[in-house]
Amino acid sequence: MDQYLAAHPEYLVDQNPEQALIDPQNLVILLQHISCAAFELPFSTNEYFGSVSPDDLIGFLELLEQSGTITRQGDSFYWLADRYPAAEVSLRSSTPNVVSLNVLIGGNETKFIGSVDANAARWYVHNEAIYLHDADMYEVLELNLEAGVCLLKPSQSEYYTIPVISTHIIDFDLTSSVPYLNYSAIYGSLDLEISINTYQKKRWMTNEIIGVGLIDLPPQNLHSTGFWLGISPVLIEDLRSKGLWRSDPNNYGAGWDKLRQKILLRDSYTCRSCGTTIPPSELHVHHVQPFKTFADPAMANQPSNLVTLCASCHNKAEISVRVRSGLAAASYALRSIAPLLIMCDREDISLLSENRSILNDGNPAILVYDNIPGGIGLSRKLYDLRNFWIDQAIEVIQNCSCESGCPACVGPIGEPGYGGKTEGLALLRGLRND
Amino acid sequence: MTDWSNLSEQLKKLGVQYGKDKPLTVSAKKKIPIESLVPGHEFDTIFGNIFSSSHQYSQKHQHGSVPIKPFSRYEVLCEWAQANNLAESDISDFVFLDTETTGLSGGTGTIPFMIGAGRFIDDQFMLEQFFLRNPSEEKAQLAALNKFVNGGRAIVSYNGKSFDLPIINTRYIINQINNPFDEMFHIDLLHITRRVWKRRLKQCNLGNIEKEILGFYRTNEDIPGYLVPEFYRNYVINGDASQIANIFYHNEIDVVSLSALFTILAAILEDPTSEKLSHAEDIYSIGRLMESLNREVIAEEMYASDCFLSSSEEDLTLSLLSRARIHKRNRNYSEAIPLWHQAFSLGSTEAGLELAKYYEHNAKDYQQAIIITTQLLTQAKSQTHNEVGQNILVQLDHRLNRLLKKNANA
Repeated sequence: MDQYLAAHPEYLVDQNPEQALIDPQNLVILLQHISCAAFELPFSTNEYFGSVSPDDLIGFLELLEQSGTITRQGDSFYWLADRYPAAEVSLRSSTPNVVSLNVLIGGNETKFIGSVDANAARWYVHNEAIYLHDADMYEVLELNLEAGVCLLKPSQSEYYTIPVISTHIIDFDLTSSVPYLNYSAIYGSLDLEISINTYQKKRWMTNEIIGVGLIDLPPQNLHSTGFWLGISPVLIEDLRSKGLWRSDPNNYGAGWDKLRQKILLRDSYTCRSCGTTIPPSELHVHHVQPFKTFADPAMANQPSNLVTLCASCHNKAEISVRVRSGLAAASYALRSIAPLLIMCDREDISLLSENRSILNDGNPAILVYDNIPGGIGLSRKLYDLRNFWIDQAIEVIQNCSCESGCPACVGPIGEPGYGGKTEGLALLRGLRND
Repeated sequence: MTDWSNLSEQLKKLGVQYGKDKPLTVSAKKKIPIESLVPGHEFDTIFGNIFSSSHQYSQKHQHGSVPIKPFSRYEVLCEWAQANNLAESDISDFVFLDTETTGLSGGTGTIPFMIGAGRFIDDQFMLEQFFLRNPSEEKAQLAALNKFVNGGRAIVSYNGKSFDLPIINTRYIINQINNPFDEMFHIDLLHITRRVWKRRLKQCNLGNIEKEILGFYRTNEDIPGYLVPEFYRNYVINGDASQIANIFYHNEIDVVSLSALFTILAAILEDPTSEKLSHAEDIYSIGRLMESLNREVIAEEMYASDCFLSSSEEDLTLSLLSRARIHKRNRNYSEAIPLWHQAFSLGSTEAGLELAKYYEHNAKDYQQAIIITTQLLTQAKSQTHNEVGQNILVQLDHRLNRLLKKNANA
């Protein structure tokens, strides 16, 4: 992001300084607004609230009346609850629910240091997470989401933690869409299931992964809004024919099962990285140089390129030499500049790229969605800016001086030569080829 | 177009807990109107009727051990409240005011659903409690209050400057009704009460002052103030006014206590010597108050009270220092010196320092000053554990050296 700013000073100098977005029609925000307004002056039955019609407004007022917050007398609704609603509106997040952070300071005594938004708590303060507050490090002892409390202890950890978030699309509903030659732009509402099952421990400064841990939290449902690019099969076919599409799942070839057994036997059914011996069914055979980088499967499957690893070591190996497919590369670039275009925090939106997406009839899709329940218009704005967004991503990649991918354009690469810069650029250009 | 049907379902999906104010089960109980529980009448205004409960007290009425009608003048009390113009006013110009509100945290939406106001009219103390049977009667309530306070020149309240009046002022603005209090003085008794009794009582809420100072004890009809908003909310939703009757009692006693408290404060401030004050802490506090009102003669008289002879050494020391301070201010050293000596013998460093200064700069009796400073040093050395003590030690050393030099040169 900062490299984009360095290359585009006009972003800071020429732009309208206030593009920050908030959607007043977000249900959660709207309800809080209406509460605050009802506190100050009674609503009457024929009033508008912004663009909310009296007919719609009455639904909100009746809801507040059912919960004993206001009372209807004739044609007016009067505030009744003994609280000050404006004090409950958080400027940091759209929902008022929070988790309070308590640090153990010897014995059973705890000290309250602050609070985090309840929705974000699961990825900031899950059990064993390292949490930074006022430049001090804390380790989470216990997160209790139901009670809204989190217990921490001071820590001198040499690593920080990053949750591994996996998103599953349960359902979606189109609001509007525009078909282009090579892709369709779709905006709509989404029901997502977001689960965090593992986290990575990364060493400070070097960002090297030194371990993984399990997180035992139930999956969370997020109802939000999103914008997705459904990539057309025609474009993929074209890219594939030019050797610029490497996002297909690997097909290791006919003799793979036999070959795999041979390698396991050769390596004495032992992980060659950590030496663990476990049941053969749980061992993996790993391509040292990634399979996708070979034109000829036979070359990739040379025994010299194959090695036995346990699941955990295999995972590490894959992460360090991850092959950046064009899809992942393009997503990375899009994701990096999106917060700049719509002026939001990086964590306010999420990007998901899928090779076989239900959003696009099993074809590849890139999805961006609001991380805020109900959505607050961030992905909507990206939908409106879609082609400008893609053009900016193209510009970032092609102007980057790196050879085949770096953190400033399509993302870091594990080993030289395996970046997805060319493929990512080809995909993005293909999208814009109307 | 946004779909806003089935709101509660949608909100649940977004993870909002909106039932914060407890969903109310409308009780099967019968509605009990306030009129059937509290004697009252309809107060007629141009904005309609408002329910009010009236009470008349004889002006000879005693609230606990204190008469509700002032028997002294209230010149000093008015002066303290910076309402000098009021000193000559008739007692009927004062409106005693207390409200019960829908919330204790304040804010634009907080409504005083009950406004209790009392005035001396003819030979009686008349009290009206304007009550909102529902919030839509507010205009009538304010108009009725206007009628009642008409001609009044001052409000008397307890913490009204920070609580009741800001809330009432907002209601006048929102209902676009002329606010009579804009033109009136406001005597908030909380602050002066604290000045007089805080040293002894620590807790200066009206309830505690009632017991300790007025000698009045409420019946079990009373309810704690923090329950008031909840009781009113239940009433508006369920229509059962049985708990509201308790609020009427609570508010009535608050207003009557106000006038009794006004009586006793007026009398104490007007002439503290006339009151049978028996607590050294109170007498010291009143002395300080008189000093701040430039009434040094009365202040000195307070500090010289016999009560200090049987009080704690700490209070006695304070009274001696205060008396000496007044005499010093008037360059009356012959009176001040024996007082400082007495306080110094009780261990007061301040008194010792005053003596050392006097002997060095006024009497030029360096030897006497050296004796005192040496005593102070011995005393200070046994007490210096902290930084302040260390500082005093350094100052005393400095003073002693200077005195020794002056003495040698003399």
